[in-house]
Amino acid sequence: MTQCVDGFKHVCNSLFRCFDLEIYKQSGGLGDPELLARETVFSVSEIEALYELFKKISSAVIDDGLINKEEFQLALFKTNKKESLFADRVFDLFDTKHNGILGFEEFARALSVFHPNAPIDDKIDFSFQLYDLKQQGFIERQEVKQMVVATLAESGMNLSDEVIESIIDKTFEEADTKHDGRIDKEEWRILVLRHPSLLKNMTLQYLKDITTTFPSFVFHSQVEDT
Amino acid sequence: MENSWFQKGFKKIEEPKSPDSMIESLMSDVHAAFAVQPMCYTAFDLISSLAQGFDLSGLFEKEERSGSMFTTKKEAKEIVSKFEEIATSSERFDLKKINVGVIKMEDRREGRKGQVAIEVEIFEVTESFNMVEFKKSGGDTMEYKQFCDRELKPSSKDIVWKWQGN
Repeated sequence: MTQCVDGFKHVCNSLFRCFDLEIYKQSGGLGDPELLARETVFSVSEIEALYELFKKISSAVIDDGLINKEEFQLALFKTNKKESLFADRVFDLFDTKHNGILGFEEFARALSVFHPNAPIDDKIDFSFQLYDLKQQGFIERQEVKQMVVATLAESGMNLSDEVIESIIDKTFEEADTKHDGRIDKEEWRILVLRHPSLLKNMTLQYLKDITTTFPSFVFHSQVEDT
Repeated sequence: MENSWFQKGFKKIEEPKSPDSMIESLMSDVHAAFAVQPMCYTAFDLISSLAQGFDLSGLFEKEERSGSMFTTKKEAKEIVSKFEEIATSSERFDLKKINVGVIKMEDRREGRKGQVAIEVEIFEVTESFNMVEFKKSGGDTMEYKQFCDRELKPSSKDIVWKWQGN
């Protein structure tokens, strides 16, 4: 049955490429750059440049115009042999359709949050969701511990359980102002506003220069950038 | 010598001493003059600094980045001593404290774009676990990179536990 569906998808994708449709394509294509520009902080030319990056990443393993998890890992770590709880978490947050692959629209919408001009509330929200492993709407002590342990393991370091517990104790002392053993969105927001460096990974300066780094040769764009 | 930081605890040297003992007395003067109190680090700081998966700049970079952050089991005092040592043996860099947990190494010489300056920040995660981050705060990037690759990184090996990204 799945072979049937895959075959059908393959035929469709080939058909679309055959006819080079300008109208809204399946997630394997650029889609509607003007719509994306309206709904993200990117300009149309930035969307087109971003698409060049997307094409590069999505063709690394399977050239199907979609980013699978392996291609994502490859792009991030320059090796696909690196398993990472955090890369998985980021991928899952990008994958708003929850189908295990990233289309360009998902890619662009997620990266929009990382733009230097994106609203800080979006960044605070996204980072909260990153840490909220079980997606319960709050960050539990157990989740923090899991992430600390994973971070140390991924970096090849180990610390005694005692030390790890003391790090988390200190963190919760500061962050968990309601003293309920978990960090909710409000507490997270307050913590982040006090420690802005916690959001440093939520801004990618590279996105500001993306039209220079990834020049796009799409000539049908007639929209004037403001 | 005019810097008051230097004068505190300073004993005027009457006869020439051996270089080693001069460095020793210099070190103790520096420690007496200031203590670097490391900044406190939450679990989230630790995760966001070390977890490569959370850092998407890899999507834009062509090669693996050379690290400018490392973890260490040494105390802040030893970390500062190590950077003092590096500064002294470079015979061109001076070390000074600029803030809590932040020290600066500045080249006495003028480079292509002014004096190369490096800011080193120490973050305390626990008493026996610190994070050290350094970055260029002045001067030409190539010259900064050269100094890092040729002197700073090799010389700091004995205090480094793990480099970020390795």
